[in-house]
Amino acid sequence: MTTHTFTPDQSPGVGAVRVTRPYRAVFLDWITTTDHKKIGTMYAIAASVFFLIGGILAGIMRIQLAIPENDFVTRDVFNQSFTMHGTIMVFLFLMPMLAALGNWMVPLQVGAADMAYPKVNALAFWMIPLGGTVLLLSYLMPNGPHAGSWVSYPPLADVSESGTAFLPGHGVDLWIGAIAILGISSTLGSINFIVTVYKMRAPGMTMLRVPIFTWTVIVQSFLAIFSLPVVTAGLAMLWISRNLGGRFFDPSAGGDPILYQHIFWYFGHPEVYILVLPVMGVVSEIIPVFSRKPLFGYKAFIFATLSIAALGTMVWAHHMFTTGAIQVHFFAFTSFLISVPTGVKMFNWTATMYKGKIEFTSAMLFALGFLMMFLIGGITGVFNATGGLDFSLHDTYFVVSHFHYVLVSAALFGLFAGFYYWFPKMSGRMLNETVGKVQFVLLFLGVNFTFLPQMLVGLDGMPRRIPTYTEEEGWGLGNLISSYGYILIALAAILFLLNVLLSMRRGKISGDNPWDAYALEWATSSPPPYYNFDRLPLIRSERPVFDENHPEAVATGDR
Amino acid sequence: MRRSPTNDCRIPSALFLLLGATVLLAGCAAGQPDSITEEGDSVRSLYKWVFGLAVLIFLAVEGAILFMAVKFRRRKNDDGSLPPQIHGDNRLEAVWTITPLAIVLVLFVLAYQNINDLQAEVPADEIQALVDQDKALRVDVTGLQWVWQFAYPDFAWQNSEGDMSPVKILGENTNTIPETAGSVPTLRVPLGIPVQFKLHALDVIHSFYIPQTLYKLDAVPGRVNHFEMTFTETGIYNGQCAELCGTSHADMRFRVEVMPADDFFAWAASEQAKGETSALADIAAEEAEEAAEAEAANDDGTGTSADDSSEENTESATEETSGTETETNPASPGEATSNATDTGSGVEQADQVLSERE
Amino acid sequence: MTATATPATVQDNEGFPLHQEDEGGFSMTVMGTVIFLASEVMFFATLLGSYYTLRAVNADSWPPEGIEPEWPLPLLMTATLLVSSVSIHGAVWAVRRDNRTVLTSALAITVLLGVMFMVGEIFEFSIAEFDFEGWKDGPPKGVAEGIVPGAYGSMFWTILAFHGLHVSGGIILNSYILFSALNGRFSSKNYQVLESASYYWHFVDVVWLIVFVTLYVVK
Repeated sequence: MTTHTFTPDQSPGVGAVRVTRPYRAVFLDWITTTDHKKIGTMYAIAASVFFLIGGILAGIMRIQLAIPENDFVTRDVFNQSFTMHGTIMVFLFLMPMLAALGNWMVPLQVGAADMAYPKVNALAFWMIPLGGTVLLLSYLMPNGPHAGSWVSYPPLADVSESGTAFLPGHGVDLWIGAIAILGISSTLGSINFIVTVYKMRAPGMTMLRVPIFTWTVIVQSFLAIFSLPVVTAGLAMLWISRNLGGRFFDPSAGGDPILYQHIFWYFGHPEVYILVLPVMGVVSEIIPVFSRKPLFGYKAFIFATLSIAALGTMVWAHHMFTTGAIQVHFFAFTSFLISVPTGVKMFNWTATMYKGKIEFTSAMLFALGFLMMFLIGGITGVFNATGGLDFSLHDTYFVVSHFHYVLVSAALFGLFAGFYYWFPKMSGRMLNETVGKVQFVLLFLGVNFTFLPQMLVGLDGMPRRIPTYTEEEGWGLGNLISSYGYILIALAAILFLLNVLLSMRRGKISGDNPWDAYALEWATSSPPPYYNFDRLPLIRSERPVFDENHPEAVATGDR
Repeated sequence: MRRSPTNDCRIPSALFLLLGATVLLAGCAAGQPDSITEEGDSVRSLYKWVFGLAVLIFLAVEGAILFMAVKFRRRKNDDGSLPPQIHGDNRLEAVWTITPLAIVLVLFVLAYQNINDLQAEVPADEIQALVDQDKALRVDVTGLQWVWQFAYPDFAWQNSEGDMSPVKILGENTNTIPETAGSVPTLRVPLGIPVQFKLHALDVIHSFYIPQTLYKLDAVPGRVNHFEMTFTETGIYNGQCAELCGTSHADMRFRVEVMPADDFFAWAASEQAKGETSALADIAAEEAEEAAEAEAANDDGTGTSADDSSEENTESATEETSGTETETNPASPGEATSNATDTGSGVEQADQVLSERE
Repeated sequence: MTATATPATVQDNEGFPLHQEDEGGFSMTVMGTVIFLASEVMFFATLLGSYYTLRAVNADSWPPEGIEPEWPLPLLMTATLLVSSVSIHGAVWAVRRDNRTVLTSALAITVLLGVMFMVGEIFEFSIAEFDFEGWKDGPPKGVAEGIVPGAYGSMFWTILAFHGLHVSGGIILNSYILFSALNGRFSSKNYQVLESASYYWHFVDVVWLIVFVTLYVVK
C-alpha cells in the first residue's frame, strides 16, 4: 500500500500548516480565489452562518409553540419567522452546503485540477452572501420581512383587486430578489459541475467509473437547470404583480392563483430531490468504505438516481391535492411510483453492509442514522402521496414532520457524515471521534424528540403555520416535547462547530487516506496541493485508489 | 494509515430499539381521530391499511439495517483481510424493484377507490329533488380574512330588495383588528343525509378543514370548490382554516354542530320563517314610508297630522321588526347570529356576494 | 503512469488520451453556453406556458375585447432578427476562414439589427393602448367600461419585456465580441467565445419566433 508521507511544506491548504503571512495577504487571497477547494470552504462557512440564523428562527418558533396560547412573539413575527426559516434553510443553508461538498470533491473525484470555469465558480459563490444579505435586509424594512411562507402563494403575496397588497412593504420584494440571485448562483454552479465531469475526467475514467457522489451531483445539477428558471419566472411574475400592476394571479382580472402553485411546485418538487440526491451520494461513498466492500449495485444505483430525477418532474401537483384544481389520481400514482427507486437505494445500501466488516466511525454512524431516518421520512411521504389521506394530512404538522424527517433527520445526518468523512481530506486533520459519537447520540435523540410528536399532533389535526393553538385542542404535550427536542439539536450543532474549530488546529494528523477509502480524492495529500494531484493512479474501475492499495483483490479478480 | 475506532454497535442498537418502541407505541396510542362522516370512515380504513403496511416495512427494513450493522461488524480479533467484494446481483435488484412496485400498485388501487369515495357527489340534476324532500342539504361556505361565514341557500326568502336571502350563520369580521381572535361561528348540519358544500373565498386562499372529518378543501378566489359529506355522529366539532391567509390565520376557526335531521330542518324552517316575516315587515314599513311621503307631498297644510300618522305607522312597523329579531338558540356556543338583520359592513359584503352566487 | 509534459498524442494502455485537447467534441465554452441556454428555455417555457394556461382559463375573452395585436411592426421585427441571425452566422463563417473584414462587418450588422429590433419593441410599447396594469387612457372606443386587459396585458408585456431584456443582453454581448474582434482576438484556432455568442443570439431569435407566433398569430 503506497501512501504519501505528509510533510509540512507540501501545500498551503486549510489549517494544515501554520503559515506566517500577513493577514492582509491571506484575506486578499481568499477574497479573490478561484480555487475550488477554497471556494468550497467558503461555501461551508457561509452555509454554517445561515444555518445558525435559521436555527435561531426555529428556536423562536419552538418557544412560541411550546405551550398553548403563548405570547412570546406576535402573530406577524411568527409568520415572518417560519417564512424566513424555510427560505434560509433551503436556499442559504442546504443548497450552499451541498455546493461546498460538491465544489471540494467533484474535481478531486474525477481527477481534475479545478472546475471547468473557476471564475464563474467564484462568482456563483459570492452571490450567496449577496443573496443572503438581500434577504436579511428585509428585517430592516418598515413592514418587516415576508410573512407569507416560503412558498409565497398569491393572492396573499399579491395585490388585491383594489390595489392594496395583503403583505404590504418591500419585504416580499426583497425576498423575491434574494431567491432570484440564489437561483442564478445555483444554476451557474450546476453548469460548472456538468461541464467539469463531462470534459475534465482523468484518463481511464468512463462515465460508469465516476464515483457515485459525483454522479448524484451531476443529476442534481440537471434538475437544478431544469427547475430553477421556472421558479425565477414565477417570482418575476409575482414581482410584476406587486410593483407594475401585473394581474396574472387575480381572478377578477382573468388571472388564476392556481397558476402560481403549478409554477412553484414544478420547481418545488425537483428542488427537494436537488436537496436529497447529493446527500444520498455522500452516504453511498461512506457505507462501502466502512463496510470494506464496494457499493452493492453501482449501476442499479445510478439507474435509480436517474429514475428518481425523471419521476420527480412528474409529481409536483401532489402538493396541490386540496386545491380542487388537479387530477388527484394521476399525481397519487406518480408519487407512489417514486418510492420504488428510493426503496431500491435503501436495499442497495443495506446489501452493501452484508458480509462486510463494519467500523462504527462517526461518519458511519451518521450514515446509518441517515438510513434509519430517511426510511421514516420516506414512509411518511407515502402517507402523503395517498391522495385521499392527504386531504386530512395536507397543511398539518404531519407534513411538517415528513419534510423535516427527510431534510433534518436525513439530509442533515448525511451532511454531518460527509464532513466527518471528508474533513481529514480538506484539512489534514481528523475530527474528534468521541465528540462525534456524542454529537450523533444528541442529534439522533434530538430529531426524534422534535419531529415524532409533530407527526402525532398533525395526525390529530393540528394545522401548520399557526402561531398558537388553544388549550382544549390537546396539542400541548406534543408541542412541549418537540420544543425540548430542539434544545438537543441545537446542542448537537454547537458541538459540531466546536469539534471543527478545535480539530482544525489540534486534530490528529490524518495522512492521505486515513479510512483506506476508494475514490480518487484519496490519491493525493490531505489537504491536496493547489493543483490537486502529483500523480494519478491507474483508473480501471469506480474504485481506483482501492485497486491500487489492494492488488491482492485485483489479482484474484474479486474486486 | 488505518484507523481502528471503537467498534461499538451498542449505541445504534439501543437507539433503534428506543425508536422502534416509541413509534409503535405512538402509532397505537395516537393516530387519526375517529371519523364523523362516511367519507371519513373510508379514509380511516385506508389509513389503517397504509399504517399497517408502513409498520411492516419499517420493522422489516430498519430491522435489516440493524441486523446487518450488528452481525457484520468488524470483530476485535479481525485479521484485516478483505471481506468478499460483492459488486451486486441483478436478480436481487429485479426482486426488490418488482416487489415494491407490486405493493405500491396495490396501494394505488386502494387509494384510487378512496379518492373516488371522497369526490363522489349526488349529481346536479338529482340534488334538488332530494333537497325538496329534506333528504339532502346544500351549504355555502365563504372564507374571508379572518372569519368564516355560512349560508343555507335552500332556506331562503325574498327580501325587501327582491333578492333571495338565505339563512346565514356569520362570524364577526375582524378584518380591522388582526390581533384579536375572530368569532367562532357554529355551522349546523343534519345527521345522516348528504350535505353538499360549496367553498368561496373573497380575498386570499383559505382552506375549510374539519379535522374529525379527515378532510379539507381549499377555498380559492375565482373558483367554487365543492364536495359532499354525510355525517354519522352527532356532536360539536372544531374546524379551522388550513391555508395560511395572513396575520390571524390561526384565529380563523369555526365549529360544526351535527344534529338529528329532524331537529335541523325544524330549526332551518323556523329561521326561514323568521326571515320571511321580517322581510314582510320591512316591505310594509317601506310602503308606509312611501305613502307618508306621498301624502306629505300632496297635503300642504296638514303636514303635522300626516307626519304624526306616518310616524305612528313607522313606529309600529319597527316594533314589529324588532319583535322578530331573535338571538340564536343559546345551546350553541360561540357568537353565531342567525340572520334576521345584517350586522357589520364586511358581513353585508359577504351577504351580497352569497346572494349573487345563487 | 505519469502525466508529465509530453507530446499531445500520449495515451494510456486503454487508449484514453492523456491530454484534454485530444478529446475533441464540444469545446468547454460552447458546452457551458448550451447548458445555460437550456435553463433559459425553461424560463421562457414557463412564461409561454402561463400565457397558454391563462388563455385556456379565459377561453372566450382572450384577447379581451378591444385588443387586437397587429402584425406589421412585429413582422418587420421578426425579419430584422432573422437577418441578424444570418449575419452572426456569417461572422462565424468568416472567422473560420480568418477573414477579419467580413467578421467585423458581420458583427457590426448584427449589433445594428439588434438595436433596430429593440427600437421597434420600445416603439410598440409606447403606442399600445394597454400596459402591464390595464388601459393606459381608459378603454378604447366601442369597448364597455368593465372590460379590462388584466391578465392578458400583464402576460403580453411580461413576455415581450423579458425577451427584450435578453435581446439587450445579447446586444451588449455582441458589442463586446465586436470590440474584441476589432482588437484581433479571434482566429480560426480560437473562436469559441464568438461561437458561443452566436448560439445565444440564435436562441434569442428562435424564442422570438415562438413568441411572435404565440402573441400575434395564435393570440
